[in-house]
Amino acid sequence: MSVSLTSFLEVMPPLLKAAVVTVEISVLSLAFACVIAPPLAIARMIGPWPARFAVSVLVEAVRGVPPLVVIAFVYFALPAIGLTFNGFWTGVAALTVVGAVYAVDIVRSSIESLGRGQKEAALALGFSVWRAYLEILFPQALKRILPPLTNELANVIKASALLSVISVNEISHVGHGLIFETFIVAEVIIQMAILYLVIVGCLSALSRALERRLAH
Amino acid sequence: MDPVFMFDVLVRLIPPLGLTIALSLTALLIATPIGLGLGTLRATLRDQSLAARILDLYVFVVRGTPILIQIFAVYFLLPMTGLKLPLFWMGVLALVFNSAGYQIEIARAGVNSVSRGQWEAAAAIGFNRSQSLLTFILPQAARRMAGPVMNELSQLIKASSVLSVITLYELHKASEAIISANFRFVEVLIVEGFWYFVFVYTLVMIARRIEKRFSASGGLAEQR
Amino acid sequence: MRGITKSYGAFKALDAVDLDLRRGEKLVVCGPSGSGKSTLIRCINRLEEPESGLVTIEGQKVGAGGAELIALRRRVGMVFQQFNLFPHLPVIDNITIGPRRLKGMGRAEAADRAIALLERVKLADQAHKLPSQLSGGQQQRVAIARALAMEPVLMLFDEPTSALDPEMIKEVLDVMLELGQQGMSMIVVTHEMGFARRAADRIVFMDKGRIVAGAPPREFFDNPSHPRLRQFLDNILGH
Ligand SMILES: Nc1ncnc2c1ncn2[C@@H]1O[C@H](COP(=O)(O)OP(=O)(O)OP(=O)(O)O)[C@@H](O)[C@H]1O
Ligand SMILES: [Mg+2]
Repeated sequence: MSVSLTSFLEVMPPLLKAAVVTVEISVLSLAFACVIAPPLAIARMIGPWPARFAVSVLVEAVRGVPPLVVIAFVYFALPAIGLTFNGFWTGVAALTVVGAVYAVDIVRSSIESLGRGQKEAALALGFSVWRAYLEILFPQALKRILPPLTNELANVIKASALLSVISVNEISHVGHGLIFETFIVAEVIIQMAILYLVIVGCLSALSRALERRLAH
Repeated sequence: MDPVFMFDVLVRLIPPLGLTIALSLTALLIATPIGLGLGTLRATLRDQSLAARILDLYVFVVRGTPILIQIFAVYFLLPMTGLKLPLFWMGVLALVFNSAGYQIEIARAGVNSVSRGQWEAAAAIGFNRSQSLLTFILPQAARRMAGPVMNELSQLIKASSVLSVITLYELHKASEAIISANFRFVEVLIVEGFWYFVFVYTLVMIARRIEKRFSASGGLAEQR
Repeated sequence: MRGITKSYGAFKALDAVDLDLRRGEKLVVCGPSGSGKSTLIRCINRLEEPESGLVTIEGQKVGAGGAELIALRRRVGMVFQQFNLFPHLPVIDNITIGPRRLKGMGRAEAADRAIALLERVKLADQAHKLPSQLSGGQQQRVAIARALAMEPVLMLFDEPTSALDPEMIKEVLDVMLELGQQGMSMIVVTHEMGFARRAADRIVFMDKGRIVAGAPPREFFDNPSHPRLRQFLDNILGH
């Protein structure tokens, strides 16, 4: 097995292009996940029982099966209910589901870690339960949410590789194709690994910087 | 949803489930001693030592890349080195490579979470480092590792589904095949998910049992 | 100990410290925070490794590591500010584990002696609890019993009462006082000046990594020789 620089450079342009797709999909998915997670988490904690039940089932089901199963489900389900997305947006939808489910747990455990006193203080002031959660507890919990969320971003990036099974042109799919087109193997795999390490590293550093910003 | 069809799928997925179980358990039995052993070792090494750096690099690569890439590496690169493994063992190897990395981190963090005062108290009484580790540090660390290890166990099982890309006919590959034959994805995926759930749940239950035994007997420290 | 020096980076936590202790002598070490008191006693049993200097105990040099150091640590007891009991072991096992594992003592004998030690620290009824079920003062007394179980020739105490509530300080100091009366050699880092006055044969005062004053209690308190010491005594006694 030998590695040559020429081959390494030859496969670089298509892989870099694919890396952009990986970043876009991951960031978009986590962003959407962050938007839908807090209401879901609060619904799971204090909603009426059907809502609590539904969210719990969703969370447990998605967490209990491999992400590939979720991806397959979204891939088939979207057209079945009349939504025809391209591969990119199908991928975003699938990863949003995966990300949101983990984010729900992050949000919930951060709010629960605040202790009862904060909630009671808010209720005593006359806040309704929902408003207490949304306006008092959730903003306080935000600081504790960010570190595990950074971790979650890394997981979403790694999960995005699985979208290659539905032919989204991200790193893994493009790399896999390159191996068969060019018969350059080692250079492609090493380069894919490096790209993921760089992306995970950079985005984690970025979100930690953001974390520090928000902490002040 | 058609219960008769679902039952049919349930039965048809049993042999592939067997392969998923075989892959996961084999990998688990190899990766856990290696991972936890190396992680404990890592916690006792100086950060600057060569061995520590190699282990850190390994963990960094495993945690920073998708399992899919690790599977590609085993599947495509291993044969190029002249080593020919049957598909099953390629799958196991990829899972071991992955899971050992995570378990190194779990053990390292577990050992390091025991306060320095515990090492010092043991040293002040006159225990050497390996005695201190076995008698005082590991029993305390083991309790903190139990949860993350159980989590890793279910991650490993879920990761085994990615082996479908190298045409191992395990649970997910088989489900895909059934779907492409009749497009009844809802039923098939529910049944597939059910099997994963049952497998993970059973293993976690067994692991909890073992853990309870373990801590009821006072851990590694004192056999009475 | 001779010429003990210990630095953290460019900072000298101990600067060529000399100190001698007679057998049976009780020495109290005091001084402002950061003056190097903990570092000093941790250099005696080499929990910190000094860059230079020499420690001898009963004529034996304390080596940098290996079997000799281990053997020596077994003869020097240490009590920590944060107790550092082994949280996964019941009180009695905390005490017996050293003799059993390191001296090969039988289980029954070790347990008998542990009970005797627990009686000495007035905790015989707590033998089977876990450390977390005890108060801070009780935990610290167990820590003393654990150190005594190795039959040390010298006991080191690093601020043994400063993590304790006021009511519990006395019960720990009483145990230490008694230990001193029974002839144990002790080095005690503490801010408890009442204890120092009653128990110490000699008190030394540290500042910036050096011992700047040392005298028997009466002279130490009534006739402070060093301006920095006078200021320190004013601060803690003066209120
Ligand atoms: N591990 C370390 N790394 C860097 N500096 C240290 C370390 N340990 C101690 N020091 C420094 O060495 C000096 C002496 O510390 P030491 O703990 O001996 O002080 P002390 O007299 O026991 O203080 P205190 O009363 O607060 O316990 C302090 O200035 C401290 O900041
Ligand atoms: Mg100190």
